[in-house]
Amino acid sequence: MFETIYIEKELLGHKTAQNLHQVFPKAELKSIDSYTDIFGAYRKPYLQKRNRLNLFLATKKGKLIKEAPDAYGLKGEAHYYFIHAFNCIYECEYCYLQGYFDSPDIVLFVNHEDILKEMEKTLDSCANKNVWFHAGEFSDSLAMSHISGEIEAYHDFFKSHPKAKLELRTKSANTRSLLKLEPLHNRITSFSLAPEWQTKDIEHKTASLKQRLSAMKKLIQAGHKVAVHFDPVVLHKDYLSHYKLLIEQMSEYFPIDQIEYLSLGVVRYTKEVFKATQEHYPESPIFAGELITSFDGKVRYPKPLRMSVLRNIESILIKSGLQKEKIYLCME
Amino acid sequence: MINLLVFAHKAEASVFIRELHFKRDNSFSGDLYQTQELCLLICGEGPMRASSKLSKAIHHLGPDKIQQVINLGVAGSLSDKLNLEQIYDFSVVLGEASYGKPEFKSFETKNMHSKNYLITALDRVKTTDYSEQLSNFAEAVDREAWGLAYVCDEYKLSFLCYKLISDKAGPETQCFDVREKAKFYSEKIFEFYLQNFSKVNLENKSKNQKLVVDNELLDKHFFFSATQKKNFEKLCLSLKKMDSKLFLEILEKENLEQICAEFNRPKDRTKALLEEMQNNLNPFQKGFSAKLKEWFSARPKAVKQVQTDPFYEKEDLKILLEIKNQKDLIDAQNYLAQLPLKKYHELFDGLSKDQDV
Ligand code: SF4
Repeated sequence: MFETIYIEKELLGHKTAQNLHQVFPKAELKSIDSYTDIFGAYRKPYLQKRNRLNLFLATKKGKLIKEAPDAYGLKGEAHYYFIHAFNCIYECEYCYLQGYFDSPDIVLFVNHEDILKEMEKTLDSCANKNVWFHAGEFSDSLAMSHISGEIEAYHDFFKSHPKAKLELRTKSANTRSLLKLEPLHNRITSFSLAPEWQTKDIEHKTASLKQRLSAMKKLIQAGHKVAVHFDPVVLHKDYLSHYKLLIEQMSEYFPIDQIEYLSLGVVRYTKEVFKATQEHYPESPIFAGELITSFDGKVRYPKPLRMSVLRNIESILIKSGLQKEKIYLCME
Repeated sequence: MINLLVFAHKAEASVFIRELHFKRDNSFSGDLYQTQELCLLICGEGPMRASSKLSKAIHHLGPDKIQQVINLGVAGSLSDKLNLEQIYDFSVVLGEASYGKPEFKSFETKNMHSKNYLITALDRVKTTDYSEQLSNFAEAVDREAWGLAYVCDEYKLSFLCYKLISDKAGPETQCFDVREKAKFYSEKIFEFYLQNFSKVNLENKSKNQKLVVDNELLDKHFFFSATQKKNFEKLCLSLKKMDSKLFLEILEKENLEQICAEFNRPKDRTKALLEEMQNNLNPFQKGFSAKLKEWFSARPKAVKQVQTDPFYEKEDLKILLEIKNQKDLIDAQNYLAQLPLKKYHELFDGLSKDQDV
């Protein structure tokens, strides 16, 4: 999977570094002073991730926790995201990372203690409030978690901080690390789900819909909390029947009211990411939808259309037994 | 359209010049050779020299006459993964900004599936430290490719790069004289070129293929300006992607004949056809604007204009009134009082029960 694994010199003895040796025996290992000497030192074309993906093991300097944008999660609560990795092994055609970094290579940061210290400080500054920490703003939270080991690193912290909530977002079915841990009421694993055609045709290399649903089932059965993101909804002829079917498929795996919350959002782009998507996936079915370039340069469906799409899906969810309060509209 | 082959040294190109009967282009001040289908340039060593020679040659030949630029030659290896005297293709070409550090700008070649990267060094790589630094970024090192790729990028020309690995970059390079083996290398590269080149050409052809709609009616009875043609091609691709059956229906004989019957001028027919395609591609927007028209178009004289947000993003309505007398005022008041604002807002909130939208 990885061509070369670059490890910062001071991390050569780290247990994740040793893990990497075992999991990727074919990858060439190189020690470097700092990941920034190579990652982003030259512009590496995004689609090179198919050909030649490298991995960096590094220490993150600077800000480790950032305030999440509006409407990121459930309203009325404080939302932050923390940065434990850059980039993703999957390849979704709408992914905003394709316009974000100057390289598609994966960087895993291992200084979780520093992240936890910042979480502690953030909690102190938000006394009396529920504070959410979301992982996965710049990567998939679980795809490599059995190697990077951060889930274990955060377990004790969230166990002893009940007001802090952890959200792990994923399109994987990699629940290995989670299933080894006791469930926590404040750790929620959220799965991005989409109709089967979308998972197959534009979410390349991600776990199939069935694999994701069965991973959710296992977690629910073991007492873990799960949530769902129907985000992004990509418009397609007969989108409503595809979502009806998806909700039926979900119900076959677990009672739908077991979901903690469900977010709904339609595909949307900044100008730069849209340009990158057009360049990387000129034939993408995403472009068959009625996307328009809006006044602010962002590309999205016209508001009446996206609102009607979200309301229609919301109404099927409610009919299928999900409480309205558990549904929130993302980025609207 | 021609292929332009570029070598750093004449010795690397010698077999090509001999076997393909290249003739020197005496109207060019430099080493440029031509046959009917090919051009060959000797660009010299070093990225600056290479880029200046190549831009001069492209200017001389005319950029629109060149299909692609193919850089051939030798390179030093920076990795044990590459074998000596084998030829490799490279997907990404990097440049060196300062000792061992890459330029930010890199270039993807047309061989984007190759796993190998090439870095163009500012200097000959004669020490282990230098080769180790560069090996963080690429598997092989040469002295010209980045300069060539830069120029191709400026001219929007495809760039390909194949290198024979002549030696291991580092201290060995000091006692290694490429000239000694130049003839052997040139033969190997030539052999490789003959074996692979037709394949490369085929790939180009299939990649450049645009959607061509073979339709006699369109050719005879419609007129497309260059922009309309481009738009038409774009719409065809999008419609096909969205609904291939619908795409065929729009372009089938009966539909086109109907447009011909409705409009006399070929220009108007094209306009109508493009509009129909656009509307089918955006059924929601079509239904939405029809609804707005229905609600807001029948208005008294005093209401000059009802304007909605062209991006359908904001719900505000801009209404222009021209009140000349008491009657205008009453007409405008009545009109405003009856505006279906609730329905309009419901439409924006996705709550409309209207089946047409
Ligand atoms: S899973 Fe998320 S981060 Fe990974 S490619 Fe898909 S959208 Fe991007």
